[in-house]
Parts: sequence; structure tokens; C-alpha cells
Amino acid sequence: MNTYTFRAMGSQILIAMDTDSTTLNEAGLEAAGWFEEWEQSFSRFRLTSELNELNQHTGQSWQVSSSFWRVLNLALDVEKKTAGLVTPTVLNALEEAGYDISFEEIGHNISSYLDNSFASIGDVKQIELDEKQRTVRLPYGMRLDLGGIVKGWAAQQTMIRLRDAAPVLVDAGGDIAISGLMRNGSPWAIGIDDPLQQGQSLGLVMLAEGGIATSGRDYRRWMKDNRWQHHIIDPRIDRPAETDILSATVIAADVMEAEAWAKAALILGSREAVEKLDQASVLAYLLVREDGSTVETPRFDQYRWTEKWQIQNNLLV
Amino acid sequence: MNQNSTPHKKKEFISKPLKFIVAAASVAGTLGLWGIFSQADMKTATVAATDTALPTVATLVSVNTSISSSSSSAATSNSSLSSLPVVSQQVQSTVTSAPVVTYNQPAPVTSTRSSR
Repeated sequence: MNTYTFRAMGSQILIAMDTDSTTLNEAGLEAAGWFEEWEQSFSRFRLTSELNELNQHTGQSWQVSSSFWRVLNLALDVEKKTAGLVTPTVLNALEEAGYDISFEEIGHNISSYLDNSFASIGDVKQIELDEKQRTVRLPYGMRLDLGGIVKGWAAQQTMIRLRDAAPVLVDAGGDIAISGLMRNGSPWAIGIDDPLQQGQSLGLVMLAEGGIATSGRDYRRWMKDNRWQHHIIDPRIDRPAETDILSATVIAADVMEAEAWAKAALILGSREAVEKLDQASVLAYLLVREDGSTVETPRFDQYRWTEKWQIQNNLLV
Repeated sequence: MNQNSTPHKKKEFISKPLKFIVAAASVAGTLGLWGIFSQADMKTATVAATDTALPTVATLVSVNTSISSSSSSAATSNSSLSSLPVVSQQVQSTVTSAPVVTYNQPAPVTSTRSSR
């Protein structure tokens, strides 16, 4: 399998296509251009990004691009589906927690942290949208962060744009979109990294379509005031989620859905997450607790690779 | 003329006893060779019969598969079946086990993990 990798959105992007290397390289280059374009719209670490422009013009109706419009509406839809657990209005809380610079720079800028009081999240209902004019008006003081949803969206968009050329898988920092079966009829083999042991795997899942995503606090975390902080904000407490889950992996009909529910599960903690995920439209999940124990839906076995799976599916992989 | 009337006596070059001995030896030789050859044939035939012995063929028994609603008829059917002679076919007991297929875990294309 040929793959093409590059860095964008603070993450490793991988594109795997079931085709020859020339087609893949052309597709990879094109995809890198799309990610650069999207990063310029959605990055909060680029002063001139569309997102920063909007955040700096609160109280005003601000026209946005069609991509920005779609991602913002997707974020608001996710907020509704997850009953407010995954919301784009977390930027103030993220910065209060110390995530006010890119993650790569955090280790060198501890002194830039603010005090321990977390800013209010804000209510998404106060965001005014005008579809005809494609304008957004944020209430005073509200600042958005679309980082929780944009990588999944970008993976999905890239997959959609490339899938006519060949079966394709797009991995945006662990959020993975799949177009369909490979040309030989077999699904894609995807590993699940062990959050407790770097370089180790919790197993292999076989996906024919849809998406898989993992949300965790094992990597993007840092110390502040002698406490570990991480990037998943619980809007109920306006600070990093206090949860027994170290990482949550979700398989869903598409990667954006998977990403949203993985985040929601992590925020909720294992007991509540199981109830919520069983009611939601996710296909399967695997939760890894802090103590190393795991919780998974029985349906997870339909995707996990085993010899039995191989025999039942009678596929050459 | 004095005719001599003495009858002509045929000369015998081989005496009667010798003839008898020759005849007896001939008969004995024929019979002896017959016996030797016939025994040899018997041995050959026995060996051939042993080598080409066919396995016992099972007796074909027609089985009535129709299900009877009556328990008595079912019992009769069972007893009639059980009363049939059990004929076992001599079968070569060579057991050919199915080849063991091991599946190797496929190599992952990528891995899902928390954002990095």
C-alpha cells in the first residue's frame, strides 16, 4: 500500500490510496494544498486566519468563506447532538488552561499561562447566523475554536475529493476517513495505539467504510500549577475534563461523528459514556481507563481482527 | 519235396518285461510330472488369490426415511433396522488430517490515536 505523508494542522497527515505511486503523489500534493488552505481558515495559531479574524470582530456580522460556514454549522450540529458536551466555544477555557500557543511550543512557554480562573464558555445560541449573507455574529467576549472538529472534517473532505481516483484512506492526526473497500475487496487494517505504552497497539480493526477517531489526554497535556492539564475542555466546568478515561476510540458512519463522540465520551467518563454511546448512532467504541482497564461495546468484535474474523470473512488481506 | 512245416517264429528284440518296465515308467513319469505341475499351479493360484483379494462389500440396505406418526410403527421400523446384520466394510484406516492454515495479522495501514 502506497502512502503519502505531510504535516498540517499541528498533526501528521497520511493519505493511503489503492493505486500506483504516481497517482498517489499527485493526489498527496494536491491534498497538502487543501490542508494549507484550510489551516489558513481554521487555525487559531495563525494571526491572519479567518477564525482569528472572526474572533477579533465579536459583536459584528462577519462574512466567512463557504468552507468556514460549513465547518461552523457542523460544529453547532455536533454541539446539539452531544447536548453541549462538544462545543466550539471553548477557546477562552483552552487558553486559560494554558493552551494559548501551539502544542509544540507549550513546553518552552510555561510563564505565559494566565491565572487559574477559567473563562465562561458561552452559549452557542447567542451566535447569530445569516445564511443568505453567509455572515456570523459572535456575542461580545465569545471566541471560537474549531480544532475539535476540523481535522475530522478535513479528513472527510479529502477522502471525498480523492475517492473517484481510487479507494482511499485519509488519516488526519488519528482521525481516519475511509472511502470503501480496497480494489481486492478487502477492508483497511487500522491499528489502535495503546495510550499507556508508546509504540504498542491495542489491536487491529478492519474497516470497509466510515470513520474511526480517538480522543485522548495521553499526548496533548502539560503541567500548570503542579496539575496536569489537557486539551479536552468540559464545558460543564469550563476546564479540562476530569475523567477516568485516558483515551476513547469510536467507529461511526463518518469520521466527524466518530471524532465528536470520542470527545464526548472522554468528557463524560466511562460510566456515563457507555450509556450515552449506546444510545448514540456510533457503530462501536473502545474506552481505555487510566488504570489500564478497557471498556468496549460487544459490536467492537465485528471489527477487531482475529483469526476467527479472517475465517468468517474469508478475505485476503 | 519235403516241405518243412515249422511255423515262422517272429523274433522279439525287446522282451516283454522290459516293455512293461518302460510302460510303467512312462505312466509313473507322466503322473509325477502332472502332480508336480499341478502343485505349482495351486501355489501360484493361492498367491494370486491372496494378493487380489477384494475388500468385503457392504450390503446395501434400503432405509425407509418416511416419518411415521405412529409410535408403534416407528418402533417396528427401529427394531427391523436393528435386526439387520451389521456389515462392516474393511476400510483402510489411513487418516488424512486437514492442512493447518494459519492467518497472519495484516499490517496496519495506519493507527488511530489521540491527536498528534
